[in-house]
Amino acid sequence: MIVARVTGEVVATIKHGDLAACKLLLVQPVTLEGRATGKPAIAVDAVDAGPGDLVLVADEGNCAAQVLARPRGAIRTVVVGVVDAWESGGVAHGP
Amino acid sequence: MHFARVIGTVVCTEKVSAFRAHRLLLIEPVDARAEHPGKPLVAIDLVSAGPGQHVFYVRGREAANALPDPDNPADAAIVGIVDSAREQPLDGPGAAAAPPAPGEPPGRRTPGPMRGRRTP
Repeated sequence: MIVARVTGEVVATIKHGDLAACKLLLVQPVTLEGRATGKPAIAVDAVDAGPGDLVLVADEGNCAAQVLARPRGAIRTVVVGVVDAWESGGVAHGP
Repeated sequence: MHFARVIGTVVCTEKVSAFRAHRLLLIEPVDARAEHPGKPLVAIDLVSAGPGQHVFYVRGREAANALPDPDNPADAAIVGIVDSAREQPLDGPGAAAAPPAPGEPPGRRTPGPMRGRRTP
């Protein structure tokens, strides 16, 4: 799993059946300092996250299937948590 | 899933049987604004996308799962056509966590005007 910032929302009327009724969020992976790192991705929201939230993103098909309680399909990237706070090297951080 | 723009079609008369009746499109990965194209790739089209359209695609095993019969060798599949993508660039620490406008619940923003990216 990676920590990412939700930077937007994606609206798509025509999409694969596995994505029906799924909220699509644009997520940008970030460093612990909050700086963008790596390529942004489109993720299915499973925790009612929104733009500006710091979230936990899983990028694996089995994770997606488990979280969404359905057989393995076309979904691979899922937002699985909203980060409240984290600690590294004795230093506490907030989102 | 990632954004891409359709830049062409690929025709193969001879192809594995699992790909029969599926269209192959040439796409280039782009960002949410359909800018900064990357290295082109070929993807199975599952949404009847056309050249110039802003789409999103999935890579890896999930691309094969997206086809009606998951027993196939696809490694990229177009799974949606983008109507609009609202992006708030992340400039630095906390930049995307700007306080919402008064009267707006925190962390949620009302949808803005649709910015259609579809080029018929």
